[in-house]
Amino acid sequence: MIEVNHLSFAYEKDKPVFSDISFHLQPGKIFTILGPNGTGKSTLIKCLVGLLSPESGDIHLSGEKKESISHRKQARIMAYVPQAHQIIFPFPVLDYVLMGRSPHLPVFGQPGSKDYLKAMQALKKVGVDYLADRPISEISGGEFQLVSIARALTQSPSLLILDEPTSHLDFGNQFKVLSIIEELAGEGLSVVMSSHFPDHAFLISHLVAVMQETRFIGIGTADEVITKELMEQAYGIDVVISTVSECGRTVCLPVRKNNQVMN
Amino acid sequence: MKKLPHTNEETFTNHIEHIKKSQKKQLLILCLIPAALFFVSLSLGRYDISPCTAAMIMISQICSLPVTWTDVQETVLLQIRLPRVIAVMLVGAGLAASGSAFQGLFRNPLVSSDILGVAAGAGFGAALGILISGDPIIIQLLAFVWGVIAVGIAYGLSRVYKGGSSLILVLAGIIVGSFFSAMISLVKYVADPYQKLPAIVFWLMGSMSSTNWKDVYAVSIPIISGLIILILLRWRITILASGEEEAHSLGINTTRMAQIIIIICTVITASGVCISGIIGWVGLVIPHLGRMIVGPDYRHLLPVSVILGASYLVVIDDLARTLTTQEIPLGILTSVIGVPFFAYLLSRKKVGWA
Repeated sequence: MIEVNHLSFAYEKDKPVFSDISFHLQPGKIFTILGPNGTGKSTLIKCLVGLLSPESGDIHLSGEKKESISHRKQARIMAYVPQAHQIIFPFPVLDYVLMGRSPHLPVFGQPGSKDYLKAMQALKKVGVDYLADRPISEISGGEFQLVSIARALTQSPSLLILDEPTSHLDFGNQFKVLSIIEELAGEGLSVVMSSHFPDHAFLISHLVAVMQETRFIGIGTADEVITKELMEQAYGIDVVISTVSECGRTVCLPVRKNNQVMN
Repeated sequence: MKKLPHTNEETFTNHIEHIKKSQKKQLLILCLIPAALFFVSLSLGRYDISPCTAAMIMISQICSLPVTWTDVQETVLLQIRLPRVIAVMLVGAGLAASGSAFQGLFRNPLVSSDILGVAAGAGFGAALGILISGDPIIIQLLAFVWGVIAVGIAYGLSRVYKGGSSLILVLAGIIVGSFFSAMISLVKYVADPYQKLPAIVFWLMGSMSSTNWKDVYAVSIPIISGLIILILLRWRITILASGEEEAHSLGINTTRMAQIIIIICTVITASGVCISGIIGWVGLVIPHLGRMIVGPDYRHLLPVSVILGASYLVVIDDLARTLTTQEIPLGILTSVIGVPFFAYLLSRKKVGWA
């Protein structure tokens, strides 16, 4: 679905934000990029979606070189959900989601009732169709993230790129968003996302990369990559990786140096 | 927006069609306001002509009607009032539409149609024209050209900064605007204080009192074609207003779209300013009023801005020419009425932006 070869980016010469990034993602798979703050995860995502131009390397979408695909066509293949941001004007949620139809309509075109239907179906898909009439400025952060995903789905993409979809969300909403991402991948959508939580990678990822100081220091399945050594190297803290029998999965927890008990 | 039913696809589609139809109806009803104001404005003035007579005189230009009016009435209507009312409505519509398009483009409810310095540039051009010649055609031409040049400089200035954001462009516009204000002062300073200076000051206050058919012909094509393009692009402007990164990821070439909108709005505003002088407020207040009526979606907001802008300015111009024996400059009245009006808007909670 998406193939990235030796991608590099720098704002200033000789100061690369990231360099020599390569990965390959099959349809229906989820790829999570982990790494501490400021390692260039968001910059990498911006390069993938075309908001920034990489310095070298190439990106292939569905086997075609990204630059050879028209900008509008790219938006039909790939949808992007940015980190939560402030919306100045209070568009109704349905009209906001409707904007996802833009790459399918001519420049002077207006969305018709079929496009409205697609937008409504996308809202139903992520389970927030009850928000359709509400102004976008009055819904919660968790709801906004789901609405943003609905808008991305309205583009009918085959690749979904999310920048920290679970940041700013409470415990329950984090899980809700992840479940929906997993469900979408189950239907054949490829997903690339960045995250701060190794646990989330354990939960839903097929492929995980750990980014540190401009490059991937590990890439593979969650079990291969989220190891004590790599996590400690990336985040500079001690961690414990252990299987919790009650929920039948592996978790990664930070601990105090020498495993001291907190008072 | 009315509550949406969430039953089945057909009901939903019908409902959407229904909403679209009622929105169209609302727009048509709103169109009656400028239409009515048009005839009322034609009948207003020192010389008595009723709205009915005004309509009859105009119809008589196309097909023959029994003449029930005097020659003077016909001349006053056709040669003085009609071009003026048409020009005022075009300018009002243009300023309001470009103001609302800019607010969407810059995602900033505080910007207006002259945020990129077009008014100050045009003012400088006009002042220069008055200084060196005084011929109305040269004044208008210089006003138009310098209005466009000012925006060009502002845009160029914003591109110097690496990765120029829309906020940088707004800043560049303000800087260029203040530069041209200084240039206007310079021209005023060197102008002959008995002949040229009053003309410059009067021009800067904005007035449509000398509008003739030539002005209407000159500006109607750029303003009307600009308005048509903006209205065709109205949904794309909505998407731009939701966020630049979002618009980009939705397949819109944001840089090119911004350039197109800036060019169109500049041509519209410069065309208006060159025949009317500097008229504030319409390009700032009217988009807000429109947003309060139909919400922030440019599919509805842009046509409504056109309607309200034309209506507002024609009312102000009627007041300007009827309130006192001597005309009050238009630019003064738009603000005098605009400020309390804006205060009223702010006192309402639903201003239409977050």
